[in-house]
Amino acid sequence: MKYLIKFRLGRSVFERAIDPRMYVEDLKELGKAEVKVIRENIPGPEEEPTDDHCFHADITLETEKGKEEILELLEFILEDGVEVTVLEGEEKRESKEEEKKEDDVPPALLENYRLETEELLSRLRTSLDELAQNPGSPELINEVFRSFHTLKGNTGLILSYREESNLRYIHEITHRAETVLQKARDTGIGLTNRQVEILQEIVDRLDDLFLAFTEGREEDAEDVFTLLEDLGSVEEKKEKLVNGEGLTADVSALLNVASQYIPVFRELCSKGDINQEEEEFFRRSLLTLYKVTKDLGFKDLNRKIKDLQNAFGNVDFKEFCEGLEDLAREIQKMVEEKSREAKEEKKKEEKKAFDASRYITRTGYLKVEESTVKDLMDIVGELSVFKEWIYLFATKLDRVYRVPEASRELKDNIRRFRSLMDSLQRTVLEMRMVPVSTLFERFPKLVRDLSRMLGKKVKLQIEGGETKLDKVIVEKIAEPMIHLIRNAVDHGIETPEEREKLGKPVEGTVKITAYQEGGSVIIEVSDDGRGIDVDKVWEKALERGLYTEEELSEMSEEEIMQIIFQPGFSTKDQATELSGRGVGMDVVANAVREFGGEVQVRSQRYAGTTVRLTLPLTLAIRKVLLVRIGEVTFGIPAENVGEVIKVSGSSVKSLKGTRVIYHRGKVLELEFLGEKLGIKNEQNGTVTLLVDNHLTRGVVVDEVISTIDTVVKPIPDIIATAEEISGITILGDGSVVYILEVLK
Amino acid sequence: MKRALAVDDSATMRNLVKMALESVGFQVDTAENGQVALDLTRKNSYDLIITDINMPVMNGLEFLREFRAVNRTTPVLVLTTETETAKKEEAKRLGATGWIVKPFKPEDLVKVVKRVVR
Repeated sequence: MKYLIKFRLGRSVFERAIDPRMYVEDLKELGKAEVKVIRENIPGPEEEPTDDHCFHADITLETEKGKEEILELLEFILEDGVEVTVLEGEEKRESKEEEKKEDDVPPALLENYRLETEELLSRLRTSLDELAQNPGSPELINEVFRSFHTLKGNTGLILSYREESNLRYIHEITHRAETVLQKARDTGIGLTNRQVEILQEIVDRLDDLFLAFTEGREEDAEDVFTLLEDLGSVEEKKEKLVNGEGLTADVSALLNVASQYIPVFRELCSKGDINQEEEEFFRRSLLTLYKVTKDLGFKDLNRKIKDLQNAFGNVDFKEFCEGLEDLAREIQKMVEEKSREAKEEKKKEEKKAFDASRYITRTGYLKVEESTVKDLMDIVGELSVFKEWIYLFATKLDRVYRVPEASRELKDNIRRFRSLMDSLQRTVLEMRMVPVSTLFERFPKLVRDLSRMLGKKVKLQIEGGETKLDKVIVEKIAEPMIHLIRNAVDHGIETPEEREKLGKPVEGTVKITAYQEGGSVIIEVSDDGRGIDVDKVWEKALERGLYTEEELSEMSEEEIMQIIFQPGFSTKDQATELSGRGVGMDVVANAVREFGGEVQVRSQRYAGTTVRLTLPLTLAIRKVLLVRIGEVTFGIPAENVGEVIKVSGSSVKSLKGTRVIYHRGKVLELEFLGEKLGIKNEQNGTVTLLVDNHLTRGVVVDEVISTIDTVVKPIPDIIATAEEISGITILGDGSVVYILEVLK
Repeated sequence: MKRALAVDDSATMRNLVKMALESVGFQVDTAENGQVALDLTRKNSYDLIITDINMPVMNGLEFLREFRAVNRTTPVLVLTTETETAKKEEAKRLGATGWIVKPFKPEDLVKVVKRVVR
């Protein structure tokens, strides 16, 4: 094949950092080339490109390559003046459709895609929830658009490696959603509530598709296309008419006309005298202005122009000119005002956009492996022990080595060290804290799925998603929370028909609230459903042999309700599809108590149920009560201790072989820790008791020394210990203290 | 060693570009939007910049405009999609050396890069 390639390149390529000689070199590599440079004036690196700069050359090229390939090589400069003609040889019809290679996605890329998709879907959920509150917000619409856009791009990338049906769906769906959002964004129309709802459903389905992709199964998503159609066809609002400068179209039209005439008016006026031709011009121009202002609805201006028309020829020309000047000023003033308004509006929007962008950079989280944070936590723990050792050494410097000056100086510095250590500890703890919204964001989908499945109408309200909690705890409460929500939708909320009969709103409400209360985080799951039937709980408790009639009759309604958390209890006679038999609230209670949490239920028959979880802020640092038994110091987790009391030895009674005391109307079973652990309890007139949270048991110790915040470490496996000992902690002086889980 | 800057708000895309460029011996910096990229170009000098168009804070076109105001020698490639012809034209007007159509594989990118950087 022989080609003639003409380069007629000018300024435009030099403005784009293109050196045409590079392309000549590339062409030479394709075969035998003859280059005839006609004109060459290429700007230097620091030189501003001008119209004088050019590169004109004719190249004849003999090569095996097809025309397509040559055109592709020259793609970036084709439109700037390059012509390729075939001189000799058949133009081969090259099949551009090369067979699609099924080479697989590089693992790193795939991993990246997985991570980012999860993040994008989660971000979409958050933004859509916010958008549901505020469907007109341009920033939020843009954020949602951007997430869809990125997801589409990334998915397309993976698809270019591997054809996969789930990804094909994701690609198509995100593309169509993006188109609708782009329109909503660019026209400033915003979205309707219905559209936001549809988008939420679409995101749910994208989630399903993505899961199917990761699990390697095929998911059918034809249903989504109906959603997409609904999304696009939802009624559109009227488009806003705003031109480039932000001036409304009417003002800028007026400005246009006025700026044509007014300078000429002024010039003529400055002459002080006009001829017939100029007189005609005035009349015509005024008429045009009159029409324009009338059409555009500028009533005041229109009236002024009419006055001027009447005045023209009837009053002194100078007077007329003054009137004209007045009008010009008026128009000027109005345009300035409008333009200022537009600018302010724009500024406001920019400010908003800036805030939004700040939000985006703020979410730029660093992903760190959990074990790294845990290691860091451990190091901080050891450091604080070391800190205490230095302090002891400082004392030793004074007392033993007799260098009080050095001791004092060291101690002064330790004080600073200590405060730094404290903030280090706080910061590391903070690293483990995540907003509970990371968990909550899954719930809207859960509730939607559940209500669809059960034929119920349920609205989910979430409050306090920003409340922070140790990530480990957030993970641990995921299951129990899902269980509670299932219960609320399945057993709590009635069917729409039932609710109507009861005079309740047809749509039931499930509310999740999170907030911090002291050192704990409270999460409540409440519903406005049928509530718990205390009689039924009573019956079942008897039936299962959990309590005797006598015991039950002494309990308050509230206490009876708590029985639902006991193992093997379930008020629902028939196991439903969702909450299988035997897995009841006891699972929830166990999971929560495992890490020192508490669970409680409140319910009003026919009005609803609230389950309240009280969770520790963090698992890393625990408040521990240091107690002494004989000569030994032990730690007892403070969250297990309801109260500490001192009673006289004579108030200890014996009941059926166990020692008990009466306290606040309750019988407390006593456990003498010393005896159990083989240490002798001191015998003096009083008994010190730690009472559990439920006022059922008391643990006898010799003395409560203090409470400390400390890192509790699990006991190394190689050490065999009594089962009551759950961990160890190291005190400042380096001594090791065993943690006793005796009140759980 | 030649130095390049990859600008994209999608981490996947950013890493793909980085991976591809590193495979042909570039040292690659990355930026997640035009503003960050612009700041980097003020500190370092690059032999090649590859930027996405649609980005938060400062998009690729704004970046191009700002960058070309002070630099006319560094090739800049923009990442576009099949449908963004208007944006491609705009990018060209603002001084983009060339473009790469998304989605692309690393080898496609390398091919295009070879056309604009020596």
